[in-house]
Amino acid sequence: MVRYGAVTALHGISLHVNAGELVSVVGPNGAGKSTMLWAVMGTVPLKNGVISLAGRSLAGMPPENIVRSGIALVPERRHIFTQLSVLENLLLGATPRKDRAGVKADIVRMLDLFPVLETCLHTSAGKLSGGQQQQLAIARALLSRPRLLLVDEPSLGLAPIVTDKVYEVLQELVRAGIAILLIEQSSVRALNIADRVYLLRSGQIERSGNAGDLREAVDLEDSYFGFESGVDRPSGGWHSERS
Amino acid sequence: MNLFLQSLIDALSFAGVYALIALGIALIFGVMNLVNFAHGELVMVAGYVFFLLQGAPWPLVIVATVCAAVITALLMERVAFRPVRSADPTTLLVTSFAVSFLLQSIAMLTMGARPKSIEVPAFVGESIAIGGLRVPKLELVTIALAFVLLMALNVFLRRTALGRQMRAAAEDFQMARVLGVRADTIVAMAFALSGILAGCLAVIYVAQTASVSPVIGLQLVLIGFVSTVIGGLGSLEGAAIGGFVLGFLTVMIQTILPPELRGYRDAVVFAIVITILLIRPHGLLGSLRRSDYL
Repeated sequence: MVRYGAVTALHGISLHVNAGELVSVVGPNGAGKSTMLWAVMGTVPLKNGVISLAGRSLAGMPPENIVRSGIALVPERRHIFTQLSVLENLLLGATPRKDRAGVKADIVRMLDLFPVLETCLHTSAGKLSGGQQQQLAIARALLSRPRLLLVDEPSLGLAPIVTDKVYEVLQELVRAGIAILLIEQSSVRALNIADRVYLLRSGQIERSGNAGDLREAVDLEDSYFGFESGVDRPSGGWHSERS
Repeated sequence: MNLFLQSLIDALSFAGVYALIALGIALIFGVMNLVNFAHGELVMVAGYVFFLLQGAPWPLVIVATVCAAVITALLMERVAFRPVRSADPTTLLVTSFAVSFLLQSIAMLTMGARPKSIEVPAFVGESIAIGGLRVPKLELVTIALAFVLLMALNVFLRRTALGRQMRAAAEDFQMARVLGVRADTIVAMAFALSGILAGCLAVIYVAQTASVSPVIGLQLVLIGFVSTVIGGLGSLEGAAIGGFVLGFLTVMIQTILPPELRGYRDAVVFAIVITILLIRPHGLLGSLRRSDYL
């Protein structure tokens, strides 16, 4: 449970992500999606409950130790350090690491993955376009070599072509064995690439299931924007978390 | 012409001192969002160490003075500020006032309320001739020290991993932590750096005034605060520039004003400061967003 004063932001959440799996959480604005990710990273305190990675509890850990345990966050609106250069942003992503040679090699790898960053390595990150900043945010997060990557609304404010590129990279990462928890409002996109999907509403998981089953069973856009709690809808392969 | 050059050297010396104190305040504000009004007390503690070690070899006195300021700064962070770091800015501000008054009171109880005079070496008061000017050695040392410290700080912040992490933390503390930047290390480092600046400032200040008292930090911290506001609160470059602007204004107005009006120097200086802030409410390099700091 996560509370802000008297307001309960998250309650009774139970979800898991396996290695090499892409799990998406969809839901309307204010559902608590971003709060959930910041809670996983330790910046929003849990009232109660357990967050664990490979059986190791992360509860009470400061954010700097959580990232060292193998989780990285690509936050909504990127949170790029605008006064620092692109290279400095990338180096910050590697803060938990001691292997200089490995970091250097990984930066080269990131520049291969996101060639647009190579041309502006020494440019102030604040001067990048939204799409470039999103790619920088993902590259920066990957430099900590996470086992679990949390990605919050990567398509927000991006042109479709840039979003496609970002999603391609996410799929590549999954194929490389990284677990990804993807927050999206664009449920169609999320359903197309996710293995499983959770529907979050008012701080609670309303439904969950395989993305394939969901695609066949429910018009999700209608479901999470128009569906009201308590109204029966065909659930297909979904499991109701509140039943 | 000579008078102008003489005033320029005086102004540079003043400005260097002001920039050093402003930078100490800006460093802490950057990573903690705190205007540390106890920063002046670091100078005061260091000043008393200088006083107590009189007679010892000068290099030892200087090193001990700087170390005293650094240790006091680190203790201040660990004991007073770390427990309330996540509290709202008002709590932090009140804590800084409390620390300031506490240190002043301790100084009054242990050293007395009256200023203690300090014997400074004769060479401090000597001047050297440059062209037709007679320039006090202390002013040259002050200008050189301020320049070296500013450059060293710049190199540290731009060229080292820890400096990079400090700049990132100053822009977005929470995101920096999420990337693995250790909050305790960065905040302690900021306090240690502000301690080094305060210690160096104490050496210059004590050499200039030849005295130390429990309240010497008060005026310094006000000058530093005004300088950081002129430059743009939270911007290190802004703080340095704000310090230089205030120092230059102070000396130049002293020079320009007729003798009978020099008593109004500070009133004129602060009228100009108010004008600057009316034109640029967020300071010379400041902006509305904290993410633009540094």
